[in-house]
Amino acid sequence: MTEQTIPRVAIIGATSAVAHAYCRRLLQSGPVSLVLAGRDRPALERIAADVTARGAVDVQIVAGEIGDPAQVPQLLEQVRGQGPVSLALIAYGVLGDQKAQQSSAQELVRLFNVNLVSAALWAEGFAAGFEQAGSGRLVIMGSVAGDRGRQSNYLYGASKAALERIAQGMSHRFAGNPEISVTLVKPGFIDTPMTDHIEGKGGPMWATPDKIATLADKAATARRNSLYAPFFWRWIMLIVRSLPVPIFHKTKL
Amino acid sequence: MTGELLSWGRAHRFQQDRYVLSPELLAREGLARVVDAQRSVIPFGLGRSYGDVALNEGGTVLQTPRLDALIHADWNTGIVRAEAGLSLAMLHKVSVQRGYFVAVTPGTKFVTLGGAVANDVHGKNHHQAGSFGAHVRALGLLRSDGTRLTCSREQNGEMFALTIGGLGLTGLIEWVELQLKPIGSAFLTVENMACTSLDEFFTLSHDSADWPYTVMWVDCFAKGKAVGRGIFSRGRVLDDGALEPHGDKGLSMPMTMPAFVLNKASITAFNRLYRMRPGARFAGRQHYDPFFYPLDAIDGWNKLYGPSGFYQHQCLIPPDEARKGIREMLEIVEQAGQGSFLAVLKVHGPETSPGVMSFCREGVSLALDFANKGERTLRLLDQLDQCVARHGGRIYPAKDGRMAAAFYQQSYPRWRELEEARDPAFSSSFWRRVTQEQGANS
Ligand SMILES: Cc1cc2nc3c(=O)[nH]c(=O)nc-3n(C[C@H](O)[C@H](O)[C@H](O)COP(=O)(O)OP(=O)(O)OC[C@H]3O[C@@H](n4cnc5c(N)ncnc54)[C@H](O)[C@@H]3O)c2cc1C
Ligand SMILES: NC(=O)c1ccc[n+]([C@@H]2O[C@H](COP(=O)([O-])OP(=O)(O)OC[C@H]3O[C@@H](n4cnc5c(N)ncnc54)[C@H](OP(=O)(O)O)[C@@H]3O)[C@@H](O)[C@H]2O)c1
Repeated sequence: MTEQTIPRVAIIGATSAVAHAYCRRLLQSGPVSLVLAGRDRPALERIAADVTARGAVDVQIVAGEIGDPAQVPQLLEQVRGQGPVSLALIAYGVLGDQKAQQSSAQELVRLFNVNLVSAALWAEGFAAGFEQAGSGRLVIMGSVAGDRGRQSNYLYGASKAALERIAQGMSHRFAGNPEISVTLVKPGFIDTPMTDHIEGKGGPMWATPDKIATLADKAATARRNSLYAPFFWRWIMLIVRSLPVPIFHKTKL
Repeated sequence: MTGELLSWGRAHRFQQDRYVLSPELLAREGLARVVDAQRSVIPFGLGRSYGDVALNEGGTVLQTPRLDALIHADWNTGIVRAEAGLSLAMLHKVSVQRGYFVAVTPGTKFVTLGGAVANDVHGKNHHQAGSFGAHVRALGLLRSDGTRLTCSREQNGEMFALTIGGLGLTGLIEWVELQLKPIGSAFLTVENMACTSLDEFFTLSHDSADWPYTVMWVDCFAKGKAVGRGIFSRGRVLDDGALEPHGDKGLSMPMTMPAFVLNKASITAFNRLYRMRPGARFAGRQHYDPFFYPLDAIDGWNKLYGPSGFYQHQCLIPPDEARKGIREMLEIVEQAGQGSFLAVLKVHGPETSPGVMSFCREGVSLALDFANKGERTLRLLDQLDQCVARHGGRIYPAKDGRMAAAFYQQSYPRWRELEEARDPAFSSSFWRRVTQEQGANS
């Protein structure tokens, strides 16, 4: 492979466990050039060293408030500055505390800014680039939580649901161009720092970041529009979505 | 975080806190948040030690697997520096395609670099390569007071030598720099052959000294002259350029697997098994995964022993006493009728690892598994210890959960040096057991 044909991949939220696993997964099938964007520079440097040792070339770090809508345009410039991106992953997200989000305007706005508004800006930025180049793949981390509003996390769920609509609409927008694809990944439980506060985590319902990354990579390569990860969440969410309201409202989910 | 954390033998159920170390937090504030005056800490890798070296009743265990990044790799020389929570499985996913393998591997790939250093693990090539520590170029140690030490043979050499085989007591190993071994293939040429007696085992080991990997699976039900019979296995890495790493699932290669090893659920007489199993007479090409890690193919095989778990007993007997000592051990096991399903015998070479407290020395090691049947099993294990002691041997802390303090102190006479170098905030159930037990201060 020559330098020219090495794909340029942008990872937004590169410090996320799933994003890191995704980079490693990509590198198993050959060298890629990586732009790692995130908030925490030392953490990004650690990941840059890891992917470099695994064969990534030309690794670039873009450090900044990736979840702040006001910052996205100039960060996007930096990410795209060194050449066209052919694959982008938008991985960051915040779960937060639903109780706090219900009662604090600041928390609620922050949640939607991070998970939805900034992510939409990144997505539109990459979409525009792909349109210009005539090709590209975008992968966005959604969540099964977007499938039905539940008392414990409907605000987070709403932010992910809206992201799903955006991905869905973009897939429609690019339906005529097989060279451009948008993939929305909907994981269930993943064992990452985001879920460390959950008591008794572990067991068959929990996936490793590598598992989710592998499924995301496969789906993006196959240009799928969306997927549950792992697949069994499709059936679980089918049931959750189809429960009649009177029954659903009796649950504590 | 709470939730039960068990070691591989599942025989110890302790109340302890668990704390998942994050690389970001470690970089920012070291161990400040996890160390307090009341509770000691001990690192916990992938929990593949069988007993209590990585457990800490009443204290905290620090889980390391998120410290799994490579820091630097030179694929021309095979020198790799990585965080200590990286597993051999993950390392090989990267290194094998580039023609490198760890110089020493234990019988499972699900061990972390930190765990491999702290127990100074050994493999089937001990007679040629020594223990894991012999191939460690340097390591980074984080002490509870926030000090970061780079240790190597040249720099902080004493701390280096006490950390290798130091059972996690000298502080948190943050990273390890290894010299990997170049390989020309991910496959080995393997010969498995019948061995009919203990004498033949010694002859086969002697004649196979130029084979890099040798080991024997022993039949513990053999009596009299047949004591020591088993299947002797030797292997050598090929040079055919097929550098494919292991798959994500345990490979199912029944043909090439020493399947009798896995058949521990049924205590069939060895003879019958031997005649029936084609795998037992195998000569051919085998991938490293089934060759080095046959048990990894069965996820959670350790649970087959049921809720009480099991004990391992691995001893090392010095060369002069080995023939006699090993025979006596096998006779004790046979007479006790408690059937060890997995018994492994191996001739070790002179030790080249700098580890002061390392288990390995020149001699012969025997590893045995016993379902935990309470007192009966503990009595048998004590009897085996006495036999080991009589022959000037020692047992392996990584596999131990019950040896008497006096025996430990007698067989690891330099233990006080480790106690001196121990980080004051670090301790384990194992360490308190073997150093603080009553009547053990001789
Ligand atoms: C199927 C099987 C086969 C095996 N075969 C062999 C064999 O052939 N040869 C052999 O030698 N062993 C063998 N073992 C034992 C195993 O290799 C060791 O117990 C190894 O140390 C386990 O590594 P771990 O990462 O799981 O560490 P743990 O078991 O979690 O911990 C082991 C020790 O390392 C310390 N430690 C872990 N990480 C760190 C760190 N970052 N800093 C400081 N201390 C740390 C712990 O405190 C503890 O004292 C085998 C085990 C199994 C289950
Ligand atoms: N874990 C699960 O069970 C689960 C389930 C379904 C979906 N998901 C989704 O999967 C994606 C990856 O998450 P993960 O599980 O890999 O979690 P993770 O390892 O905890 O990573 C979270 C990421 O989000 C970033 N982040 C957090 N708050 C932010 C903010 N305010 N502004 C910008 N970035 C912020 C973090 O960056 P810093 O390093 O800078 O903090 C980090 O990169 C997320 O979109 C998440 O919603 C997760």
